[in-house]
Amino acid sequence: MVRNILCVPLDPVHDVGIKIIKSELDKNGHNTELLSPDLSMEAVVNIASKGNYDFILVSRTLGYGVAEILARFVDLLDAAGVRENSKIVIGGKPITPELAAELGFDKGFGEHSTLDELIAYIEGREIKISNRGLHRTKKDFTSKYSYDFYDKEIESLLEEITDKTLKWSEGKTSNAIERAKLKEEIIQTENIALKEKLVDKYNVISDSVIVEANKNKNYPKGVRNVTESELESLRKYIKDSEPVNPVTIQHNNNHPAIFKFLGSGCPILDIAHGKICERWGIDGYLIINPSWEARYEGLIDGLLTHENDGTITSFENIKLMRELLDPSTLLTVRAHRGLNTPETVLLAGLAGADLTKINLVYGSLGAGTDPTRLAIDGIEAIKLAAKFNMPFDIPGNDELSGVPTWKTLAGLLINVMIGKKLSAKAIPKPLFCYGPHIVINGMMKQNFIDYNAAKIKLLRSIADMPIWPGEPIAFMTQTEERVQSANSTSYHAALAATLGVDAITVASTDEAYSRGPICITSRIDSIRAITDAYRFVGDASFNTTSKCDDFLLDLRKKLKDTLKLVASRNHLAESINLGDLGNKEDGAYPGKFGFETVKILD
Amino acid sequence: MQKIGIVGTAKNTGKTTTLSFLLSSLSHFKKNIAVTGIGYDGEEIDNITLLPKPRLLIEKNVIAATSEKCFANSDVKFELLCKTGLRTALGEILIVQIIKPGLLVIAGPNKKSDLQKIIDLISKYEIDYLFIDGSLNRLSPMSVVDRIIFTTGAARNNIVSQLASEMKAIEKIFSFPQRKCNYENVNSIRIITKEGETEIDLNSLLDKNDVLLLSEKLKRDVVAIIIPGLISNEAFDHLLKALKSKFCVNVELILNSPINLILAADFLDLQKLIDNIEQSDISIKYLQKPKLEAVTINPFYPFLHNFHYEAGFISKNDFYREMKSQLTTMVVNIKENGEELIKQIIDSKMS
Repeated sequence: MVRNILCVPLDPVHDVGIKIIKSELDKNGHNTELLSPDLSMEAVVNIASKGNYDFILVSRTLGYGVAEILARFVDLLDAAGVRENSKIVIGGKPITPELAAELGFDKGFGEHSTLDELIAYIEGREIKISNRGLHRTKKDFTSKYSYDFYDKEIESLLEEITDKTLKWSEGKTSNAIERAKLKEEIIQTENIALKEKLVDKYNVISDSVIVEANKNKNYPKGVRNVTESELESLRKYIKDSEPVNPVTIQHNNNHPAIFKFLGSGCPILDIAHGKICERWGIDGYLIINPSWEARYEGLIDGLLTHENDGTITSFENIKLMRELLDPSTLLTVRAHRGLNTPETVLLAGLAGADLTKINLVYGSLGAGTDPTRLAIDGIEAIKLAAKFNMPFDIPGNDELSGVPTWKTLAGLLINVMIGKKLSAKAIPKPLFCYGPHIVINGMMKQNFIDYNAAKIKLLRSIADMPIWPGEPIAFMTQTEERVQSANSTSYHAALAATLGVDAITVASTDEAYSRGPICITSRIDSIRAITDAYRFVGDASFNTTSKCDDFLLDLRKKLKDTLKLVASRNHLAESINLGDLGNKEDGAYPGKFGFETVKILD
Repeated sequence: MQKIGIVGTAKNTGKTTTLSFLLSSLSHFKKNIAVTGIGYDGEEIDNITLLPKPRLLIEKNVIAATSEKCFANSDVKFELLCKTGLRTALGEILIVQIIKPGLLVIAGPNKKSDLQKIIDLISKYEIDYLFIDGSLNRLSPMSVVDRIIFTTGAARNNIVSQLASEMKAIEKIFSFPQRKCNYENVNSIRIITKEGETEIDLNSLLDKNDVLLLSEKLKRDVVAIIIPGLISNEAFDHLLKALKSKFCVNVELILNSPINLILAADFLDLQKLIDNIEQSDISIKYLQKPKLEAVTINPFYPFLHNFHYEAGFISKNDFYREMKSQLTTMVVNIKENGEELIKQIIDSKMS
């Protein structure tokens, strides 16, 4: 049914919204009349009272005092008898149903209303639009890739390295691998006697600190159980704070997914932050465990919090995060740093995480785990990732020291090939920032684009695989100023979007300077900045300079040289120990934890 | 059933505070009370300034007419008495009886005809007092009530003398008499002469053209003109000229209610309108005439500081003294002498 509609911009300047609405109503076949924005209220009432309008649509920005003006306008329409035949409707950014009711209008449409809603109302149709809940599906950015290698020379070198390493690993085990097997049975059995027996076996091959915590609840300093009341208040908070008018960060389907870290030490705080960021469109989280957890043999059970960086990746903690975060939110659990890599992957898989984070090279350099131990544990962890159908992301190890990019990329590709051989999907995460080696050697003196772009182009030319720059993007370009930090992150995100990567990890604006848990506003800062950056760049792209091609050529050559060197060794662990993927000059030392703890199977 | 409307000169002038006081005070006198509102009131945080607001506590047995979405965030328990079929921006208006007291946001009918329907429905429940909460500075639906309490305050204007002047003008407008006649339900303008009446195809007089249309039918022997809708300030001036040019004298201008005259001009211009009326040959009458029961005053005003609204206050004593000196109507600061208003309401009901 055709409606007669009077469109009234009761505003001297802001009439663009009502013009858009008029245009849409015209397209839908309604009769509309748009008044000029300079009429007095009495003049508008005069026109409204003489026409035969079904609806009077009013657009007006609000400020203090404007409410009274609008209320008087409503009164004039009422007193002139216009309301007996016409519905009066208000639209404007801050309009809510409550404000429309307060002003006396029949209906209000605000910032989050859609044209479809307005047209349905005008046409008297029921339209069900829920502004609550996320209503999104989980992103999958691995299934579209074949993991076929375009660069056959590199493929051949990787085959050689991984074949030798996997062969070398056969017949070897560690306490971490044995604990993972026991833990799987412990979680799955309902037989109490058997469970106790298995726990005893677990304790025998764990450090006393862990046994004491699990057996006698005598936790390491700062660690304690989450209380019932904390859990209850979290659940109430989530129940009372259903996301309203959720935001989508990506402007188009090709824009990368956005991941943030969760690792405040407290799962309650992590989840609360997680829920808020979900509303602002975040796609997933990396759960980062505390550094001390990596140093002990064995993991502490239970719903645990502690007063330090990193959240304990117990089965219960991961499970709670999985339960309370939206099902569409991706969760990845860091596993590769320390003496519990297979068990962490197991717990992540059993608790419903979507991904896990493993890099056999990164985890065994720079105060990490012994390369031999991590190679054996990591291979088992990748097998478990495959078993739970969890892709694993591989962070670049050039972020912490001065390891050159080509060595880092060599490490990423070795992990990708191990994954391929073990039927697990790997996601390399090249550093996408002002990394230490770059700072030292001046590759980004001209701009921040060429060198970052060269890394992505190189990986894209090697194999058909997902790419997830990190970690976080814009690392070492951010300062203590939140606006600067958000800007810098968003520029890197825009560049990542133009390079067609699949995901990015982003920091909060106070991440490097928080001196404690980061605050929620700074989390949202960077998300909002990226949302605008994605909108700004859309499907356009940045131009690189000729330097990018030079970097690309140089990186490819040095990457191949590195892989050739690694391939000349007996296995990956030997290569790492000899410094092929990062040496003392680069600031990378082989890790010491778990030295000489690999066992030969009987 | 006494229908008492609470209207404000602006937002934050104390409507909710006045209504809360009336509801809680009269509940002690065992009166049967009903409440509705012409907007949306009783929320925790002001929709515009984001400052905390007084909330409306509704006692047991009170009958309330409010929109269905208001019950979602309320802690009252209630029995549904009837669904009205009338809709607001917050859903259908329901009439309920409170069985467990609590905080409730009131969002009732937003136009005069709907308010009359709600009054008709509520009148079936043996109610002593029906309170109709206003919204912002809205007035129009209040034509149908018996008594009006005006709230004014520093949120409207923090110059006390101006507040007193505009309230004095409002008081004057309410002082014009009622004209009992059979034209209460007409929808178009009528010119009454000694011989009969002429109908004009207009509801309101809003500009010069409307007055021209009317003046074509004007004769010298006109005794009254009935305007059921609005008369604008501009049209009023043209009408006076038209009457003069046709040598019409002692004409009664019969408006629907004082509210229709108040709406003719902004509050600050009302005195000019009254001066025009007093210098002319016409006399103002009303078809419906709510009584101006009292004026309540509120020294609070929100002001912008560092991009946020903060609370400010003018001198309550100066404000009270100035209003008392200018008005004959009762002046009440609810937080100081509210009980005088209660006594007046009870006494006038009994009389």
